[in-house]
Amino acid sequence: MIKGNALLFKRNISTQNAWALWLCQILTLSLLINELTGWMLAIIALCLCWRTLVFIKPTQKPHRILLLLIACSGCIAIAITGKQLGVLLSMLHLLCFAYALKSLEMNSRKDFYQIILLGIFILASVLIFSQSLLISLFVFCLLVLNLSILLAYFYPTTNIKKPLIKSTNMVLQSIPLAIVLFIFFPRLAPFWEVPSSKSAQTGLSESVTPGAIANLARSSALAFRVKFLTDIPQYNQLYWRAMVMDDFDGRTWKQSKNSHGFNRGKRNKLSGDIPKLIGDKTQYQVMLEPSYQHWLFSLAVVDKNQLVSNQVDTLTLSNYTIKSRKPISQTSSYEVTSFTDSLLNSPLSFDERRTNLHIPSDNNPRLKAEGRRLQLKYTDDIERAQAILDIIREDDYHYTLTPPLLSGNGAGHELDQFFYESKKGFCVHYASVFTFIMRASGTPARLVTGYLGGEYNKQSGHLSIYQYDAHAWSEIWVNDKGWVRVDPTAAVDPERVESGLSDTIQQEGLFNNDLLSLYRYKHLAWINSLRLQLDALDYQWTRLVLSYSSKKQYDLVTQWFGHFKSWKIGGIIGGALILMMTIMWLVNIKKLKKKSLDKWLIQYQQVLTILKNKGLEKPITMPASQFSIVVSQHFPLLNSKFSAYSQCFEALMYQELSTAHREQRLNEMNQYHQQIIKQLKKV
Amino acid sequence: MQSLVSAILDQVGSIVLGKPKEIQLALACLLAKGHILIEDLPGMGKTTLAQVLAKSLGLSYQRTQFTSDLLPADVIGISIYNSESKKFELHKGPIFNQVVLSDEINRASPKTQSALLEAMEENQVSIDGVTYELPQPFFVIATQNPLMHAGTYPLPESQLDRFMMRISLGFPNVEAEKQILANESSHYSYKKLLPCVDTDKLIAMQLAVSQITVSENIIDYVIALNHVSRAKGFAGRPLSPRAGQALVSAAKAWAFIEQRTFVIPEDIQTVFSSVCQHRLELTSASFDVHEENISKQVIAQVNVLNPFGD
Repeated sequence: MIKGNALLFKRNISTQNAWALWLCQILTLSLLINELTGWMLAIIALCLCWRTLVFIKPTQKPHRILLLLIACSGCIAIAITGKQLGVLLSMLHLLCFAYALKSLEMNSRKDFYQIILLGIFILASVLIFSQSLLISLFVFCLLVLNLSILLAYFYPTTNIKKPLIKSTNMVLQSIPLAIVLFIFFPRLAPFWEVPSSKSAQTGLSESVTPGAIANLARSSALAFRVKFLTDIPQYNQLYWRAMVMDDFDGRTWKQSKNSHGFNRGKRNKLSGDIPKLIGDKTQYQVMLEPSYQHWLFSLAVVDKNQLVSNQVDTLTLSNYTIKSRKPISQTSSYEVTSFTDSLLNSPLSFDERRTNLHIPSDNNPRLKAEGRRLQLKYTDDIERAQAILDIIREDDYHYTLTPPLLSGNGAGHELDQFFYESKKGFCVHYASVFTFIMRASGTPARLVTGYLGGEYNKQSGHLSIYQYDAHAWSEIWVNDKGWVRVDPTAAVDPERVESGLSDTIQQEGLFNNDLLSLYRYKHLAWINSLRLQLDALDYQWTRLVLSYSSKKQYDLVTQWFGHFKSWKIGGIIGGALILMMTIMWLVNIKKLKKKSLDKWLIQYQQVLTILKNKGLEKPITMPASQFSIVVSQHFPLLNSKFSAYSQCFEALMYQELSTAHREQRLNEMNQYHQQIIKQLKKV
Repeated sequence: MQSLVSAILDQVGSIVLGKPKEIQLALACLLAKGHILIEDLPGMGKTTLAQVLAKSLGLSYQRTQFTSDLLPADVIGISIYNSESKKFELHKGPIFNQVVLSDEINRASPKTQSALLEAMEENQVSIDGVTYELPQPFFVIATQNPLMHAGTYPLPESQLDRFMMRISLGFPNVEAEKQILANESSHYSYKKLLPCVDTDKLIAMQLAVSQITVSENIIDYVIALNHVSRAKGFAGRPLSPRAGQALVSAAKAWAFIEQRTFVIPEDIQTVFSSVCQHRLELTSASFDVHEENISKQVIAQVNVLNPFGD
């Protein structure tokens, strides 16, 4: 009841609250560390450090003109780099810059409001870049923290615990409405372009150079998830195709123009001979993590008539891969039906044959010679491939994720060097060499990259494919079978293909990039089960929340309420709002009733407030009867009225009165109230 | 009925000079059917107050001087074999009076103390397996010297709890002391006093006290006070629900004496120190802690108008 009293408003933020705000700022901004440029982070760190200095010595506040200078130069710097950053990022920079700088300019209530508002706005923008369960929860907690800091400003106590509880309570109360809005509010497409500058960090790369990387980037980050609607194929059949690399310049594998720059004409021509789909169908839903690339993952052969997606604009390519027209910048999903027994036998054109046979003439002579030798020895393509695999299997080859760098002996002979000297490498090395020899022996061959396998999560029945599942293998053209998949890695390390990375490989200091990853501690049973549980939880989050599209929304509304009409949506949201308010009202009805009865208390508090302004404050522990004596000493004019007023008040508070008596007392008190206020104004 | 109250107060006040508040508290305690413990230095008028009160209320009373060799049988009574009638005959002790004055209760051994205190709680005594009801109304007015005085057995907490109030008289002011010294004879004049009320009237008054209104707001206030004493880090012992009951009863009696039909927070605050001080004090600390402080601490932490508010 006293909470509403404006007099309790404190002008200064308590120290504890200020620290909480400072912590809140650091946590919020730390969520954006990956998005912000180095110089901006430096400025932010400087501002926040200065803020700590102000905590210790309040006189150290920066001068207003200095602040203005920093603000102006910061804005100019953002404007200059704006072109590089793009609209979204430069706006984000501006926001974060303002947020950090504002902490040095906290002079009035207005500034305080602004900083809280900015904080909440930045929290919302964090969700543009990541919507994972963990980040979302963190953002939620920070939102609560922000609100509690705001609430604590008006709270009579300096302890932040109570406002924290209250704001959590309030936010939790708002959740049902938030869910209704989430489900029914029209889903708008984002009107910003998410920068794709991050392609270098995640996902597969668009070109492969064996020997150029000594340490394969091994990350346990999630690449995508798959939920099978039909039976799950065996592990060694889960070759998730992403890119076909058929252009080899002697060092680097790339996608040739034909498949890369898919042209409409070619696609139309192909639609004439849709691949023959035979065998059992495998139906699955793929949930992609943002990769900022175009590549989509699928098992061959995809039935392009059953490729369903409302989040991704898909394209089927002639090399049996699928692709999105726009980079994947947020978690999205699509449904695929594959016929894994079908042949990849769309006719090979002359151009394609030439591309897939091409090897540069000036390097790797020993492999070329090997290819020619095999060409003479085996006429059958399959037998020839088998012969190469036998060499790899029987000779002293090792599978390792940390192969030595290949110099190419100064003449670009990297593959020769690998095959005859170092003999250590990972999938890319073996696939490259194999493809190279096959081409040298006159069989069209190409390199395919993608992912192999995946981790099956029993709890939710989905497959999680991580970045460390990235793989490369070969496909060779066999005349009556089409493209046949050959995985040379299977020859050197069968375990990799049968069940994932082997233990020996894991001991090679695996995943040195992410120390904190739970995968590192996979050998501990409880951590592994925890990891799988978290994965299942995250999967559900992705499936239910992040993959909720306007199509799903449309289906849901049609299913529940018949035809989709915008007034229906409005009705649902309005109805939910009214329902929520009714529930709240019913829950609080007792409190509300009590409040309306306690009119006299409110009146008495008003008089106390006026007296306080006049310099006479009632100690909270002093009963009204005693206070009336004190008042009569200070304001002799009020004497009789105030003691009668106090008596009325006490009677109403503590006496058992009939309704009539109560009314009478209340009237009396009202009269005294008016008179006292009038008289006090004169004093 | 109110005229009776003021008659009693006037009469007691004419003998015990300059202590109207203490007299009123003692009367309130008796009207609330509580026992009272008067603690002070020797010669402050404890016994006088007790005797004048008993006389004015018109009840049968007997005074017992407690000493370290006093036995339970001296208080309660004893069965003695009568050789003429060849039967055991009960010789009732001083406890079979409506008002029992136990002077210097803390000089008696714990055994004797507990015999008396049992009677206080149960309103009955058992002698040789036979239970005897005590006359009603039944009051114990006990006096004691401060604990640090030589030859005392401090009452344990559980027994202190049986006393609704503990009051101390303190030194009289100059006016009162002048009067006391001037009229040497008046000290014994209470012997000639006439009772102001009879038993029926007293019982009627007690009934009236029990009908005083205690609103929910007051209950909240009392509970809030109790909670303060139970909070972590509080310097005294926590208040029990019985303490809360005693507080409400005493406040009702106070409101009755103040001629009100309902209890206001001021009543609670007025009786709080007398009712709760001896329940809050740590026995071990009571030598050096100033007595009033701890009750004041409790009261100072509760907002009267919004007991549970922030």
